[in-house]
Formats: sequence, structure tokens, C-alpha cells
Amino acid sequence: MVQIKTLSAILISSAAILIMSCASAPRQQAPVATPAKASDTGIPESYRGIAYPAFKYVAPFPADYRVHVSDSITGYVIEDRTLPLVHFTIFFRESSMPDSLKDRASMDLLSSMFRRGGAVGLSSHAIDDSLEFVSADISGALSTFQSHISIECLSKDLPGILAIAKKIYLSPAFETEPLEIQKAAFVNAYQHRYDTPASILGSLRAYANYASGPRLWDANDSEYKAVSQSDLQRLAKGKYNARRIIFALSGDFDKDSAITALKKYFADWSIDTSKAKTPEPLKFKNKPGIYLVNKDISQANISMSAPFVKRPHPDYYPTAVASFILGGGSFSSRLTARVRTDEGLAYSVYSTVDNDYRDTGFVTIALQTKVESAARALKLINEEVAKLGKEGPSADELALAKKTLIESLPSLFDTPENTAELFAEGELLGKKDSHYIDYVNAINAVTAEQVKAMIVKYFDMKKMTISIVGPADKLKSIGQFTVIPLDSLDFRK
Amino acid sequence: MNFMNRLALIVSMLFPALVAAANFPVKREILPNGLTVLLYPNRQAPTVSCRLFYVTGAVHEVPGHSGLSHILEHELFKGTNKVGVKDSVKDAEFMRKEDSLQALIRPLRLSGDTAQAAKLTAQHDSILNEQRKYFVKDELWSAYQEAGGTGLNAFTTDLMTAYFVTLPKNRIELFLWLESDRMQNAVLREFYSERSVVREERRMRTDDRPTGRYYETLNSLIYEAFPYRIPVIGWSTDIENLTREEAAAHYLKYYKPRNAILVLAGDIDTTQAMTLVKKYFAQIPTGEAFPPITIRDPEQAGEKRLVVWRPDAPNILNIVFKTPAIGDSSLYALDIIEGVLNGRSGRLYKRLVEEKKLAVSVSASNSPNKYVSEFSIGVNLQPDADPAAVENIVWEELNKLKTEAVSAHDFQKVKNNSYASLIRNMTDMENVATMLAWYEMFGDYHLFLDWADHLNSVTPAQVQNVAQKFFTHKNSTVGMLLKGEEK
Repeated sequence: MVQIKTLSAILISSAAILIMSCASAPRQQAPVATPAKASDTGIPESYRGIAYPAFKYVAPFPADYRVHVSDSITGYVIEDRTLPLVHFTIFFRESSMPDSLKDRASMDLLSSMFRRGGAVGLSSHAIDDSLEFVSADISGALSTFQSHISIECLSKDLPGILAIAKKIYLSPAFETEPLEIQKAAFVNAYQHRYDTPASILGSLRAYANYASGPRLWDANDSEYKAVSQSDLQRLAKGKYNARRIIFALSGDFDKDSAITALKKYFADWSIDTSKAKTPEPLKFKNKPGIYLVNKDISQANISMSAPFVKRPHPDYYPTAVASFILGGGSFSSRLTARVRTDEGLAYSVYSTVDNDYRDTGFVTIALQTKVESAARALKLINEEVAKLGKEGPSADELALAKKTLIESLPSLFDTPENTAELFAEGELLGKKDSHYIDYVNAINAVTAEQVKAMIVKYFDMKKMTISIVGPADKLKSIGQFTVIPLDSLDFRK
Repeated sequence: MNFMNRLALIVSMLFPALVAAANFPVKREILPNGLTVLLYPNRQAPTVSCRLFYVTGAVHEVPGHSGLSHILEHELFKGTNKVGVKDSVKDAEFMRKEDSLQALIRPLRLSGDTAQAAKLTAQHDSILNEQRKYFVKDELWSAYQEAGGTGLNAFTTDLMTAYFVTLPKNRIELFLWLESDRMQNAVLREFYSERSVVREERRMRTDDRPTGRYYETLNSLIYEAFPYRIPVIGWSTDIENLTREEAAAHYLKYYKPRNAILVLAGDIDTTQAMTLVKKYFAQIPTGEAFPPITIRDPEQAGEKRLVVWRPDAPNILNIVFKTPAIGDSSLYALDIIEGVLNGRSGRLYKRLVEEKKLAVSVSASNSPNKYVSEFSIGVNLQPDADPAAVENIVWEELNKLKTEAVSAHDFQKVKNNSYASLIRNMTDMENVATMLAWYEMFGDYHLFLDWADHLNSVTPAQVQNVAQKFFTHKNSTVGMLLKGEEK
């Protein structure tokens, strides 16, 4: 009863506000009836009338920051004395792939155990205590196509921190006590891997699209528990080697002195001359359809995807522009306008194109919507894709997409750290020094016809897999789907 | 003395002097109409992080109207009477018709007359579709985008609502034009479809997440009267009943210069930037004063506990203590405690993760805030860990702080980390802009820049005193979100 009385009171209040609001509406909109005089304030009537100071952005050029340490070691060094801080990332062009499923767990643990397991002559406790005392961070990871070590510290601590990092990664100890702690953490993560709709959707999307293979192997809890120190020692051989190093150094130092110090630092870094492994490409199932994991939640979490291209590829930029117009441009894009703004069916709806230089990536359309509106949302998406593919973009849409993608370039280089890392990663991926100049030209060259063609070519709904996490019994209206048991999402073959 | 100890000693001697050398040339001016302007020049990139904060959020909401600040934030991307519309007179006519229909629909829905409500809703939607012909859809968003705006967004919290974008350095006038317009001339179009969007947002962020309802409930347990108990996104039933008129009233009350903080951080000339800010904002009326928030929680009657079981729970334990508002010196002593407990060299990790193997990870958090602050412990439990045993160990460590003095080494570690944290916070201009505004809202941005310095004056006895004062069962709220079948 109390609640009903309260609600009634609110409604009365609302009605009162309604009247006031109606009465005040013309006052709110006074500038239309009695426009502010631009001459009084110097403020233009429209933002389009603002005269901006001249400024032509030219992206920084990698060659201006590149340093050559040796035949196998190059880097990008940006001196910035603003803050007493240094960032240093060392990338290693090497692959860390297990040869058998039973090594998957060891390889996962190895990536963290370099840092966590102490070094010869320097215990894991001593390392943690020392780094935390000076608020320095050393981390690293092994992955399919590269490894990296990252260091961040106050500039005055850099020499000491570099020495610790070298010990960690060149003389790892893989102590048993931190190994047991890490194993427990991995077991815990394994047991919680499908707790959230987002984590299930990520795995379902991989299941629906990829054929099983070593690149995708998942370890299980008993395999994590069985990992031993000797497993790590065996797999650690040849990791973080100087066969090909590209580094990014930025922050508070004298550039010339830093280069001299780095030459010395890398001089005794081990070089493994054995032939590097090349990871096998990921294989697609190419079985379009709707795949669903049953979960009793209020929304359908949906990801629609189809294979795209591996860069560099002439279709990349036209498709990036097309995706911006379709669903990548947030409120400026068609999917957001139709599904979110017009109909209120989703908070998040978007399209993406993968920017992948190592594998064939995906084009994706994703959204979350209440189960009752899933079929309607999918219908609207279908209509928008078909319409853009048939009619192409308007001149305004195309111009906005191009302008946005080009004008946002400075944000990539917003800190010296990001700039140095972008250049280092760019070299790892084989990008040219002229990459960001070419980028501007390539985006500018995209035509409306190309946008149409790319939508038809890559966002063909008939060729897409539609992965959904949601309650199966309430989603029958979306059409026929295959229910995938949760425990079959792990890649074990 | 080994290498690491030598390194530590050198650091402890040199650190404060080095940080003092760092220069943070913030320029602050409060315009005659009350608008606070903070400018921070930094030329690391030719961009400027532009942020406008309104000091309003869920704390200004009352029962039945939760989520009002947040939906207003959404609505303020719908344009003004200058932006996003081709004919603002016709636009206003449509909105009056829509509001009148909504006033009829609401009681019908509440009385259960769904057929009549649906009929009127269809009429409303038909008018809205007609109105849309006069829209320039999402013009504000596009205007920022085509100018190279990145990180474009907004957020709502308990205390502040923020609108932000990073622009090329020559485009800050666009921000000033659009935001001064948004402060004065907003038109809350498409309110009712946006209300549905917010419902979807709540489903995504709260209802369907294993931790969503747990944290919402824990929060409402910690705060009994104080409006920190109100979820920023709003209760579902409140969202469904919010009206455009309520949002408009909230806008007219709180979106005024006297209640706003404007920050520009990046590649700016502060003199020129201040001139531009004044050009756009100085003539905007101050806005009427509104009464301060006087409600406070009563003294806690005793320990409060929440236990939630879910099959998909992450297995976590939280212990939360309410502490004084920012400005109280005990928060600096609590910062020392946070540092002593935290990290892999911290006491909680050593006891719970390394020694007892009951936890996967553990953290302590001293969270200074306006009105009332929090000190909290969070533990990710091992699957087979007994939560009671974990809780006991946490209490053992908290109790030790009451009786045993923190070592000089631990003191220095916390101070070093606090200084380094300040430095790191100053690297990213978006973060700089937010931190400056946040602490200015607390009372003075210097609270942020000087925080680390204040730790120098904390004594071991003060640390013991605050531990004794705040770490009591009576002052605690304990929450557990445990993996298992619902009970």
C-alpha cells in the first residue's frame, strides 16, 4: 500500500512538472525566437561558423626515432623529460606454441612463471619486494607470434630495474612455491571460465568459426595441476632470444646515453640460431548457421561473424570505411541509429573489421538485447546490411567516415610510450615507414561503390555464423539454431 | 647489504626531491558565474583532452527516481535547439504532444489497462517518427567525430556526470561551442526509446552479470540512509517510470556554471584557452543555489553481512569499513595501511595466498570520497577455501595493525608508491583531466597533487589509532558471493 501511495505521489509530481515543462519549453528554446547576437559575444550562430587556427597534423615518422643496435636488434627511442618515468618494451619475434596438447598447460604457465618464479641468485620474494618498494613493474608474455618484456619505472631506478629484468628472463629459476600458487590461479580461472555471458560468447564464437588445431588448444584443470618445474625448464629453452629484437624506449633519459647503455645491455643477450617455428594458419569451419549456448539470462548476447582478410589486403580500407558507416561509427552508424536510437532495443550494437596482419580476421556484428526483442533486432540488422549493400552510403556518410578515420590519427600518438610501441609493433608486422601517410591516402580513395561492394562481399548474412548466449526456450523466434553444450566449447583436439 | 637493499635505500633518500622537481602547472580560475576552469598544459601530443563535469549524480536522486542523472546523460547527446534539429519550433510542438500522451499512458500502464496504453503508445511513436523528419540525427556526435574527436563519451557516477572528448589542439573551440550550448539549450528528444536503451544497459551491466546484483545489494547494505546506496544506473522499476519532465527538471537545476568544472589538459596556451572559455561560458547565468546534501548514515548498529550463492559466482569475499570524508587526516594513515596490506610483498598476500593457500588474489583499497569514504578488503577465494577461515585471517592482520607499529621500511614503500602513482597519473591527459576535476569536486585539486606529500607526516602511532578506530566488527559490512547452488 505504501508503495502504491508513493507511486501515485510521483505521478502527481510528474504531471505538475509536465505542466511546468510545457510552459517553460519556449523559454528553453529562446535562442530560436530571440537569437543571441553573434556580434555581441563573438560566438558564431553555428559551430560550423568557427574559424579554427591553422594546423596540419603530420604523423611522426618511424625512421626519425629508429636506432640500430646490431644486425638483429633495432628499436625506437623517444626522449621525453616531462615526467621522471621510463617505459621500455622489448619485442621478440618468436613463436611459443606447444607441440602437443599435454604441453598447453605448461606453456600457459611458462608465460607468467618467467616473471613470477624468481631468477638464479635472486629469489621471487626478493624480486617482488624490490620492485614493489620502488613501484617498478616488470612483466612479460609469450604468445603465438611474439614475446615481449615490459618495464616501467621511475627514471632514476632504470639501471637497477634493467639488471633485474635481465636476470628474470635470461636466468629464470621457476621456483616451486610460486609455481604452485600460479597453478592454483590457473585452475581457478579454468573453473570460472564460463561464468559470464561475455566469456561464453567469446568461446562459442571461436567454436562456431574455427576448426580445432594446436593454435587453439585449451588446457584443463588436471593438466594445470600436473605441470612441473622441469616442464617449464624444458619449454623455456630458446625463449626471449635475440634472434630478432625490436624495442620501444620512451621517457626521461638522454637519448645518446640510453643508446650506448642499450648496446651494452643487449651485448650478452643469447642468440639462438636455430630455425624459428612458423605457426600454422588458423582454419575456418565455414559452417554458417545459428549456434546457441543455453543460459538463463535476460538478454540474448549475439555475435555474428564471417572470415575477412589478412593484412595487407586491398579490401581492408574500403571495408573499414564500410563498417564505420554500418556499425563502427557509434551513433553516426546505421545499426546504432536503427537498433538503439530508433527502437531502443540495445545499449550496445556495433560492427567491426579485424585489423590482423597474421591471420585471416573476421568481420563482426554484435549486440545484446532482451530475449523478447532478439528476433526483431536481427531483422533490423539484416535490413540495414541489405540496404547499405544495395544503395550504398550517402555522400555525407562517406565523407564523415573518411574524415573521422583520418582526423583521429593524432590520438594514436598521444603519449611518447604509445608512439614508440606503435612503431616497434609496426616493424614487427612489416608495416612501411610510410604506413600512416598511406593510411590517409587509402582512406581518402575509398568510393561509395567500394563500400557497397565490401558490404555485399563480407557482411553477407548467409555466410555468417551467429553465436548466441541466452535462454534457448525463449529464443525460438530467431529461427533454427544448434544448441552447443557448454562443456564442448574447449578446444581439445 | 645486498644489491636490492642498497637500491631501496638510495630510492628512499632521493625520491621526494625528484618528485618535487616535477612540474604540474595547473591554472585554476573560477568565473564570476561560478564555473570552475582548470587548465593543464602538456605538449606531448598535439591534442587536448576536453572534459566538462557537472557535480551531480545518484546522490541527488530520491526514491522512485533512481537513474535520473544517468538517463539525462544519455539524453544530452540528443542535441539542443541549435544542434540536431532542422526546425526547433516544430520540434517543440511535437514534444508537447508526446509529453501529453505520455502523461495519459503512465496511469494506464500502472492501472493495468495495457490495451489503451498500447494504443496511445502507438500514437506517441507515430508522432515521434514524424518528428524525426526534423532531426539531424546525432549531429553533436558527428560534429566531434569529423573534427577528429576521439574518446568521445560521457559517464555518470554517484557524484559527477562528465562529458568528454579529446580533440586536435586547434579544435578546442568546437568543444566550448558545443558544451556551452549543451549547458543552456538541451532538448531531451526521444526520451522514451532511450529509456528502453537504459533498461538494456542495466540488463547487460547488472542483471545478467554474476556480480551485478551482489554489489548492488552490498552497496545498499553499507549505506543505510546516505544516497551512495542508490545504484547509478537506477532500479529497474524506477527506470521504467522515469519521465522526460523529471529529467528536464534535473537538467535545469544542476546543469549550471556554479555546479560545473571544465578541464582542458594537453597542448594548450593557457592564456588563450582561458580567453576562449570565458567567451563561451562567462555570460551563462550562474543558476540557482540548491541546498547541500544533509542526510548522513546513522552510526552503524552492528556488523552487517550478505551471503549470496550462485552457480556462476566468482567466489569472493568483501569486508568494507566506512571511513571519514576526504579532508580528514586519518585517510592518509589509512593509505599507509592499504600499502602495507597490498601487493605480493604485502601482508594479506603473504598470509592468504602464499602461506595458507586460501586465496587466489587479495587487495586492500583506501577509497577517499566526498561525504563518506570506504576502506575495503577484497579476496578471490580458492575453490575449496573456507570463507570463515579467510575472514579470520583478514581480521588477524587488521588487528595486528592496531597493536604493532608499521616498520620504517613499509612506511617508505607506501610513500614511494604514492609518489610514483602521482607521476603515472600525469602521463595520460584524459586521466589528468579526470583526476583534477574529481579532486576539485572534493574541494581542491591540490588534494590530488599533494596527496603523496601528506603521507610524510603520518606517524606509526596514527596508523595504529586509525586501525583501532575503524577496523571494528561494528563498523564492518561483510559480503560473500560464493559458487554453489542458490540457498
